[in-house]
Amino acid sequence: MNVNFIQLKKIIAAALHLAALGMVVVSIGILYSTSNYGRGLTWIQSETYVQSDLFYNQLQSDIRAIFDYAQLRDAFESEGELDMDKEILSINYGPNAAESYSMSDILKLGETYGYFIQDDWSINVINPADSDLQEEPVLVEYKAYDPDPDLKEPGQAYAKMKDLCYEVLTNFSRYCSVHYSLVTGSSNLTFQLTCRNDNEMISANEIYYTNATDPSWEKLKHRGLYAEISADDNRIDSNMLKLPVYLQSLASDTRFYEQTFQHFIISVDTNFPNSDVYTREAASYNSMRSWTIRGLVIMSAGLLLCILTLLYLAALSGHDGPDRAHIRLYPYDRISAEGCILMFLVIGAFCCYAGQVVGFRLLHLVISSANWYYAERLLLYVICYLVCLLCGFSLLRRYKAGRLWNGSWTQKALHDIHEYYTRESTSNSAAYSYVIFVALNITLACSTIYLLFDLDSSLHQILFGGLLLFWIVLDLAAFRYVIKKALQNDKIQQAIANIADGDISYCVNVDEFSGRQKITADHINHIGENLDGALQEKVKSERFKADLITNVSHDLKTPLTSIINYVDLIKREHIQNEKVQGYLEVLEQKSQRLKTLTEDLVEASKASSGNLKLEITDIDFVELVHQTNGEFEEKFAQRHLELVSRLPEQPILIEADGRRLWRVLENLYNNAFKYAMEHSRIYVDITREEDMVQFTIKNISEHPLNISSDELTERFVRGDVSRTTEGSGLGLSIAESLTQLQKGTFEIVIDGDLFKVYVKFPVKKTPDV
Amino acid sequence: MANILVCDDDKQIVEAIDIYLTGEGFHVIKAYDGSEALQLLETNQVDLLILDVMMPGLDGIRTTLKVRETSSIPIIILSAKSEDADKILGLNIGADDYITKPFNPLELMARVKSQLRRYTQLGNLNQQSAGQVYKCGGLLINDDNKEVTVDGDPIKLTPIEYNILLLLVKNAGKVFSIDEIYEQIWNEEAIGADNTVAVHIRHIREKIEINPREPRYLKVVWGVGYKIEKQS
Repeated sequence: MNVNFIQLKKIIAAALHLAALGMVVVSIGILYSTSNYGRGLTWIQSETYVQSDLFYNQLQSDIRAIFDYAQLRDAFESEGELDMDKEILSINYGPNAAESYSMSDILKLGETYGYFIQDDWSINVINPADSDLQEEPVLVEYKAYDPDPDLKEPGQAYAKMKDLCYEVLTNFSRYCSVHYSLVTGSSNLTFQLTCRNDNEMISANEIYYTNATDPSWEKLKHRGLYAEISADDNRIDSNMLKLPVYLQSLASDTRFYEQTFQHFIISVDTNFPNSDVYTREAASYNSMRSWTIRGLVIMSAGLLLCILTLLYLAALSGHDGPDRAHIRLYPYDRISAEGCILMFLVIGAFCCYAGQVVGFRLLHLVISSANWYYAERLLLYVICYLVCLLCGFSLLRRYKAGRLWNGSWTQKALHDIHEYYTRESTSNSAAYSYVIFVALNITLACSTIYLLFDLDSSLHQILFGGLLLFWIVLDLAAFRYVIKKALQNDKIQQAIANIADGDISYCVNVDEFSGRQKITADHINHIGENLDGALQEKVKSERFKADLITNVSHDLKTPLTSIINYVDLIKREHIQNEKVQGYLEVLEQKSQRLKTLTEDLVEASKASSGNLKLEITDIDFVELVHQTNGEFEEKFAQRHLELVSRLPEQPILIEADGRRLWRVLENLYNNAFKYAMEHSRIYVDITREEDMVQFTIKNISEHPLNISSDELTERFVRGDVSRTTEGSGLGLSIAESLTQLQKGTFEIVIDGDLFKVYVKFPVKKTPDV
Repeated sequence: MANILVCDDDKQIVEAIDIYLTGEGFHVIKAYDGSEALQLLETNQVDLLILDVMMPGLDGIRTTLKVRETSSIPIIILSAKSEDADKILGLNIGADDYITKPFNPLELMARVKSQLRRYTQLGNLNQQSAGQVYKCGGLLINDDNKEVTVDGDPIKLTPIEYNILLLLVKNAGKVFSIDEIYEQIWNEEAIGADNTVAVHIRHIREKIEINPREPRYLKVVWGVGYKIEKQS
């Protein structure tokens, strides 16, 4: 159900989107067809026609036409009627050879030149090629519409006949357009232009140019909009939204022949009772405005809906179930992103071509030819939009599925380059880099030099500057890169040196490195970590072992105490049985050995793990050997061993822990005591070799020494394999560990039955006086 | 006879000590943990306390601290812990002696007697101090009649041994090297001194010390010389 529901939602959204797109297209069509194209949107603020610029412009042109009409009326009229036979133009072809032209003459003449007056009083020029004909200028004697020309120089009195003809026709058309549309035709515009008569030949004081039937000014004002100007104060009195300011210049600058401007009033009946240009324009304006507003509203709604549905579709795209993480990809979503874009480009191009071939013809059937251009473009845009939409959604699904970058050709290419660069040996990649660098440099050098010899155009100057800057930046960057890599190599070397010197906890900051060096730095850190970890582990396990041994020995000691005590108590009972006496001897001996063993075990584990606190002081090694000799002299006598010592008379100071060093010697002497052959001699020597002092003890072993010297210091290894004599077998091991803890060296040499031990310590450096 | 409180969580060890001490004529009170020992101390007249360290509940160290709040009777700690740090800790918090397990019964008896003698005879020591008497803890040297006693027991020394001991006791705390001792005693320059002095010192130790390997009075400063530990 869910799947269908989401599919349904998608279909509805897509349909809405297409509908919205249609709305936008239709609204654009409406806006184009209202012929307001190019006027912007500010006009729409004016609610009615009379407030609009259209009205204003029309009024302005009408006012100009009225003033023109006022100037031209007397030239073309006789007794208030148009007189086609009235003399308009007089040409002087020579002395007493003047010829005058009436309006009908001019019309005929105009036709020979290709000038025709049309129904709307405009001049239609046909066959303008005739103007190339050479024509002599003629002397103008008289122009009815310009009876008192203001000639500055003689040449101005001459004109070509063709130009004169065109001039007369132009003026005639201006007169006629006002005369027939405003004066004799029905119009919503009423005007009255009043002039004072300066010609004393005419009796009337004031001359009126008007189309008003009832020339009452006040009445005119109440018909709607009006504008009024008087020569007295030259100020415009008007109720219009925009004052026709040009009226002032017209009123003051227009020259009338033998007349003076007095007063002008114009009014427009805003009810538009008469059918004229104003009525038509008002109607078209209103419908245009309403259509434009409708178009805008539809376009806004369409765009909004477009965007909303697009966003909704974008959110839904790829999902086909409640599981937001699952993105369903169409088969074409699985090709690479660049491939997809390429595919849609091809599809788009094909669709555009098809649109041109088929769509345009269909459009031409339904749309008037004036709008073909826009319609064709619109169709192409729509096709492009739809293709882009499909492509965009395909990319969006990839992005959601995390496949936009992964799997794209760019990513693959970058990955391959990177792989190649890292796989390739350092020397090879360095060589390639160098070759590329040199090639770039040479190219840049050549182009800059080429440009340097051709610096004329500004384009070349800019190129030269840009290339030079790029060159410098490139070389600086390369230099920085080389230095950076060198520094990183130095750091790596230093890190390796540190680790080699034993500072295995040394760590490099990987963020400071890049490329190969980063990998190396990472490896170094791993080496350090692993070594450090191994060492820590070793120290930990040694300590754990020492602790374990200590604790076990504590636990052993308590029962051992009871054994020793009760063996002793039994002995005190003085049992007469010989056998029991013998057994008791064994018990006593073994329990004593157990006691030594537990004690030595703790010491050995502590000494070998370095878990001891040393109290290092200055010690006279000779004195120590004397003291030791004193302790053992009588003990050796028990086994008839003779102690022969050769010791220097001068004290030899070393830095050691006296009690631990005594333990070393004690163990060595005890060893000799236990294993030396009876009636033999034990030799003890101290010799000094530069800054080392060497202690030597030698004895002849009672038993054959059939094991190596290394094995002797191994724990629990003893000279006699039978292990019957007392001792733990740890003595030599303890002695070696303690010596090494005090920075000494311990060496056992076996030469046949001769057993030798060398113990060496550095002599304390005394400042020589 | 003196009452001795023995406290150890191992019953067999307590029993064994009981046998030895009873054999020597002491009266033994037995306890098996620290708090029991403290209770018995309150209810009985106790002259000496033998205390194990590692006990369930109140351990030996804390028991010693508690006892020392009210009493100054001799305390001998008897422990399986034989590290230097353990011994120093025990002696520092107020124990008078420290014996490590497994112990020699005879040594324990000797130390018990020594502590008791010092404790009980502390009063009349001052009376004897008239004349040429040198004392160092339980060690007394009467130079008038050339008598040496340790915790009241007379010790027999040869004249050279006596002179060496007297030299060290007179300068208690000072370390004498072998050569110095030789020159002082034999009044000769020590040229190529042999092991004579060291052997004599060993003999003295065997006579005055309960355990010569762990001397209380005559200490070996290895590699430097010998000295008598300065004691109150």
